[in-house]
Amino acid sequence: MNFSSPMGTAAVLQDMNISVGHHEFVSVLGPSGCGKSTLFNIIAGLIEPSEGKVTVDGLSDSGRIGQCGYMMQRDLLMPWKTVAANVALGRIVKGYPRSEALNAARKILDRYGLGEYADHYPNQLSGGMRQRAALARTFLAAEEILLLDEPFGALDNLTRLRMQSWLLDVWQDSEASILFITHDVDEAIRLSDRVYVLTERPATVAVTLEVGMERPRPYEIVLTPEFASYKTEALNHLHTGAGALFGSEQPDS
Amino acid sequence: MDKKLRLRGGISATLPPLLFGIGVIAFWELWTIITNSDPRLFPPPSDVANAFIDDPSLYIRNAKTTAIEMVLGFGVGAVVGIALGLLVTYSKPLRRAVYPWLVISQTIPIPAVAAVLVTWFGFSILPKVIVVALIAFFPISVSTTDGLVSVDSQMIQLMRTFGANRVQIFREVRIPHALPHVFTGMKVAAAFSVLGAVFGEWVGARGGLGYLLLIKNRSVNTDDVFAIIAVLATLGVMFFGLITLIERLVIPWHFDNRAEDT
Ligand SMILES: Nc1ncnc2c1ncn2[C@@H]1O[C@H](COP(=O)(O)OP(=O)(O)OP(=O)(O)O)[C@@H](O)[C@H]1O
Ligand SMILES: [Mg+2]
Repeated sequence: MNFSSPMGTAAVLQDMNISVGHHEFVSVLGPSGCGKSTLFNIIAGLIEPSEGKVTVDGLSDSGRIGQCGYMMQRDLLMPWKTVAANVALGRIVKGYPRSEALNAARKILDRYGLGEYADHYPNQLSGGMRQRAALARTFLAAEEILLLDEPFGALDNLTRLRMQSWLLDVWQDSEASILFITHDVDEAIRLSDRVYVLTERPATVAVTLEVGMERPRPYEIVLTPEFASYKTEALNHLHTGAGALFGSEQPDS
Repeated sequence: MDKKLRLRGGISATLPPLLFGIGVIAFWELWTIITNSDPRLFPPPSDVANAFIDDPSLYIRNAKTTAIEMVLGFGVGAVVGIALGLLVTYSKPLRRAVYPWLVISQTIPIPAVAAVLVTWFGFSILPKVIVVALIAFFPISVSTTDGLVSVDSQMIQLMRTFGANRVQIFREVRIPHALPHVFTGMKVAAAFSVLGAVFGEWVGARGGLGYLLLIKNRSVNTDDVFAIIAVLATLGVMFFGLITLIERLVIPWHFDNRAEDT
């Protein structure tokens, strides 16, 4: 993928070959600015790649827009809609009757522990609650394929760990295939069946980790030797190339 | 829980300006007594109040005339302003062709326009309504355009991932995002519509507070003139308050959010 502007052309993604199967949890791990969000924008159909092809459920090109539930880096809850109306939005746009969509939204909010906030406005929610509401909206819009762009990036560590467990529960109860972006190595390994580690810009896949650890995976799984070996491999690849400049090898002055 | 908070907010919001107003009036009254000033030049507030109490129906009757001109003119101005805002946002050629003229229209002295309108339409209500509309449409069209173009582009992308079409994006995102801006423009327009009505009446009318003001001023009934000014100000504040009330009913979320911020 190249971005062209009057300033020149920037290559962002190169030779990307990524796939997600039915009910798989796949993470994309890469340094900041390498093109992860761009990759998702392409998959979701918001932009077309300058080269290459994306197929979602057999649909490629403009046919794929509206097929994936896409949770962007910012929660993008609309301040003028109540939480329930925000969560129902995808369905309403897709032509469900408003009341039916709102009922479905209430139900999912109940399950996500946000039932009593259904009629509040988003600004009355905490950061973690906003993320859960945004996830609920994404699930309701498209239950099969979910693109989650650093959904927990802005949360504190404790909330983040809780949200990971919660997301795993939600995913296991569903049929969804999830593609998940994160900066956080632990998060990627704990959650995923497979992790694609990307290089600096222009991003390509540095290594693919097949994470074979059993589920369910509690918090403590990060302390096991098996986890450590996956983490070492991921870090090795993240810290090669230009990334090493900012890596931990840098001596402190 | 919110009700109590808002009520307290209401009192603490109205008390300071009320006290300030009372203070100014008291000072004014004292000043006229101390300096023994000529009431024909500078009447004390008590004279002004008496002028009103002497014949309240005179003021109320003329206030009604002016209020009708204001509301009608404002309505026309709002419709035209919002329509222009939409056109200017959605059609690039129209934006290029029309926008400079919107600005130019605001540089024309309104009394001059009013005079021409009276020669065209006589002493009827029409020239006043047009003058008010001319003043009111501008802030509304500018703020509508502002509101429509300042939408968060990622919210539009989100809508597109749902497969939304332009109409849905317009209804669910652009309009609600623009509404607070539109109301800001309408509040400015409401405050200025008093001015428009008075200008309209000055060039030719048989009623209204602006007309009454001219007559009373000519006969140097200064206390009456001040009473008229007070009624005009009240009219403007009431109209502004009405728009604010409608705003609170139409976009309650805007205020809930702001309360949360403080
Ligand atoms: N529309 C665009 N036009 C030009 N350049 C763009 C555009 N969108 C993104 N870029 C550039 O592409 C690169 C990748 O951006 P992207 O947002 O995909 O990174 P990211 O991996 O998601 O980063 P982060 O982890 O910080 O979210 C950046 O250098 C960015 O400046
Ligand atoms: Mg990103």
